[in-house]
Amino acid sequence: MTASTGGGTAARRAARQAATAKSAKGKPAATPNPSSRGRRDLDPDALAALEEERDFLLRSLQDLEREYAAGDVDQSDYEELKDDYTARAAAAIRAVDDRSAAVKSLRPQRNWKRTALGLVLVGVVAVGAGWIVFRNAGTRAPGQGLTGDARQDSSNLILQAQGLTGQAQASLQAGDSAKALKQFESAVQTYDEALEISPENVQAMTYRGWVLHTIALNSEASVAAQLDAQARQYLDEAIATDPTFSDARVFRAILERNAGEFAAAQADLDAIDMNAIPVYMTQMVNAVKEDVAAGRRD
Amino acid sequence: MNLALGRAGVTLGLAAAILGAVTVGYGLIRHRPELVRLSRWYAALVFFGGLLAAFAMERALITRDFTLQYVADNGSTKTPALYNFATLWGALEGSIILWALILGGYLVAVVLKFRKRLADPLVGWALFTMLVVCIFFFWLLVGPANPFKSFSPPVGFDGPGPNPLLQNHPLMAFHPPMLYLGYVGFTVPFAFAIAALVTGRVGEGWLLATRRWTLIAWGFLTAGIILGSWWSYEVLGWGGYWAWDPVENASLMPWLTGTAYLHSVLVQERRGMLRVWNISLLCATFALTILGTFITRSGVLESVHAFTTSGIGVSLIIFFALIVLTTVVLIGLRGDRLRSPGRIDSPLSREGAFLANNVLFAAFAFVILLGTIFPLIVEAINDDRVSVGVPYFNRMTMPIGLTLLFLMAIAPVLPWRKASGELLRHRLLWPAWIGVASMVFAVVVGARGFAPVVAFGLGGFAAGSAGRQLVLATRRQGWRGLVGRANGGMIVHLGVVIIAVAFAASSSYVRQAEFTLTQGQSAEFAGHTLVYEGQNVKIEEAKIVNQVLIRIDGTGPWAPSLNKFANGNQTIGTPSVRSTVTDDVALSVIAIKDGENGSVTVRVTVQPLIIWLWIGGGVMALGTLLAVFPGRRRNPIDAVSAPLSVEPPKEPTGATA
Repeated sequence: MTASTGGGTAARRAARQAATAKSAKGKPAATPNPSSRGRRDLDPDALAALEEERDFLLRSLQDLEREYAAGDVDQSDYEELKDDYTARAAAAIRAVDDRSAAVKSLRPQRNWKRTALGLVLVGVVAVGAGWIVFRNAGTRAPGQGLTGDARQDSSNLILQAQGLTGQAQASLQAGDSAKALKQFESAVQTYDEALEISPENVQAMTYRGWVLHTIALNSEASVAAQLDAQARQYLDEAIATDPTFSDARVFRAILERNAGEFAAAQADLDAIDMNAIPVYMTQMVNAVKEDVAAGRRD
Repeated sequence: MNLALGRAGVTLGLAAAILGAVTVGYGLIRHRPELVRLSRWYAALVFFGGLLAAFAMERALITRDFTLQYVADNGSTKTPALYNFATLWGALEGSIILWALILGGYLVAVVLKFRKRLADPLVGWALFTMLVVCIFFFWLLVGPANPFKSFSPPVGFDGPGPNPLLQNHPLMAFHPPMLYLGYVGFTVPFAFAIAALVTGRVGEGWLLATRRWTLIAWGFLTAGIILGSWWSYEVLGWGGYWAWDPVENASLMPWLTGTAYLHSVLVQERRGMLRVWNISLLCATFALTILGTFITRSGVLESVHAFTTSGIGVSLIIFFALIVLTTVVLIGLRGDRLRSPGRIDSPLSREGAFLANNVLFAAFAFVILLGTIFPLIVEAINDDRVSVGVPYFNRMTMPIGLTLLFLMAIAPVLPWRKASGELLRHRLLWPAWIGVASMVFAVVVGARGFAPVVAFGLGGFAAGSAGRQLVLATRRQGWRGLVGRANGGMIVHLGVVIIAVAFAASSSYVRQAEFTLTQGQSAEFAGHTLVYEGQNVKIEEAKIVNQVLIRIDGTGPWAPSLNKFANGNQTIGTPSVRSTVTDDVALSVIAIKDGENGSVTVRVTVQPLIIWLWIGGGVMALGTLLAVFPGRRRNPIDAVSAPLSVEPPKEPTGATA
């Protein structure tokens, strides 16, 4: 036996309310107004409590049947309890139905136009944000994070730019010149950032110039001339800042050789400290020296 | 010993969680409250299991027990005690132990708090949900993130110690536990949300039961994020505190949805509206904590394809999917009951402002989510490695942030249902003047640029509004006018305003440059004079610290350094920051050249109002603490309008008897 005789008050109260509501039928129906009804009438928790009570009484009826079948309850008790449970369960079921109906009647009609407008708005915002993020996404340099960026120091920025240049060279070799151009531009931008915080950084000046020259090699003649002129400016500035920086001398000598300025190229080549340059550059310098000696442009 | 203790702890936790979930679940389905009440014992066992595992790991770290793989990988005899202790959460497996321990702690706290209602199905289903979450995390400890793997160290073995960046500042010992207390804390309201959906009790009862839990979790998350920013500023040496990197974004997303929930829940409590929205926000907040853990812990940051090779990545993404699926299905099933019978009467009302604030917070979270996962999507589709830079986040979040500041000024003075123009004029007059005065003051002291100047004005406006509420509350209630959700909330608003103004100033007027100086040489930058005085070498057990001594405007010497750690040969810089109430000068060493002149290259970052970020964080924490305490309950017979005059009404002029 699981039901207590003292239970069921909520169900009875709800049933009484429902009965009162029924007795008032015939009068003109008032416009449903949530504020005029008791808050508890619309409270889902109260409805859930009623449902719980209904389930509890129905289970108690099942228990009673089982106990009666097993002979644990005599006939008169069985009938009395069954009537009581049935009445209370019916009251609970009616109360649940009435409350559900009341809540449903008070619920505003769904405005499909507004829903559609809302969905369209959300879609537009989502697509718009997607487009903006696409526009703002750039090539990820080696060592760079997925999103955001801590302000890098100049040496890190130069490393990043060099990584981007390497990626661009790989793209060129793979025949994807559009991608390569984008990567070269990112490298130039990164060198600019380095120069912003360290304006006298000769490495950034030199390699920014060299990247411009590399872009020029893959551009049309008119654009290439402009890019080479800009590259030359950066290399001049780097050498003016630090005349001993060999990399800038090597690159300027190459540009001078290409332009047929062999005397200037020779002066730069002579100023290079061969012990201060990396091995791969030694071969480059030797090749340029041969070209200059032979008066041969690239 | 440590290995055995740890394994025993993890196994105990997992077994108790499984048995607890099965027992509680069976008790709930079969209506056997005596079984549901057993949850208290299972909760205690789960917590004890987590505690034992954490104790075993700490003991292993402190005693340098290199027979544990985790200690061999992350411990070292040279690591100082504090960082050695903090190594528990310095790597993936250890951080899952901390997660499981905190989860067990919250579980026990919920059982204790609701000890008289354990048989209530709402509490029962909430405990069942928490136990299921416990199963997942303890299973991670048994499987893919097992910290108790054995290792056979060769004679004389010493581990590399934690990542040098993790042993460079004491904040490392505090900010991850704070974050985890926040992340894991959201499990409690999530569990009650699921319980409400399962039981159909989607009214306001479960909200009242969990609002303090939500506030506490949110408070910890706030403190964790701010301490994390502080750590980043003090340790990483890039001169900033917020870089929009995936780890930061992962912590900010649940904070944003959690903040939205803290506001919209008031609308449901007062008007019974936004039920679907509130449940969705809570579930989204919890799901985002798991997604954030996936982003930061699965290896997906290195390569989108890497996470499939790490067991934990796959587990976390499946768990995330399960949370989303469960929530969507349950909301779908309860959809009819969740629909509110009421409507917002006027957009110019408290609930209208909260709704607008929620839309903005949701948009904020969406913008960050999109920016964070976009590179992953692109890489997964076509193998292109792209990065979404700071400009995207700044451009997208700046207008949202400014609008939120505006709403923060308006919303507290708005009444429920609707407001008249006259009422608004009356209540907003002083806050508006404070806003205008702030803007004028900012321009006079040299602020330029549309966004920062507007931010200063709106900051003043919002501070005026919050201040007005606090003044009125303290006039009415004395010191109790600072306590309680509404009043504590206003103090939190003041903290947010301080942070917003400091953020606007520091990010808009940052100046950075690099200088190469020889001893005795000075440099002028952004109104400050720097003099390089020389170097100082300190030899410590774990590292050799090469300090560069620099005087800033005659103060100091300040000593940024390069630290060469004994293990790993890594050189890590430690910045030195001179903070004043007006600006910070942060120095980082980039290079120290050997040679006779011993020149050094230092990076100098000057940012205004940085210290106010941390002060604002402190004010937010204080406000949250005050909001957690119960405020003065309104007596049902208290007058809600102005008291009537005690003087007898005067007779109208010319009235005759």
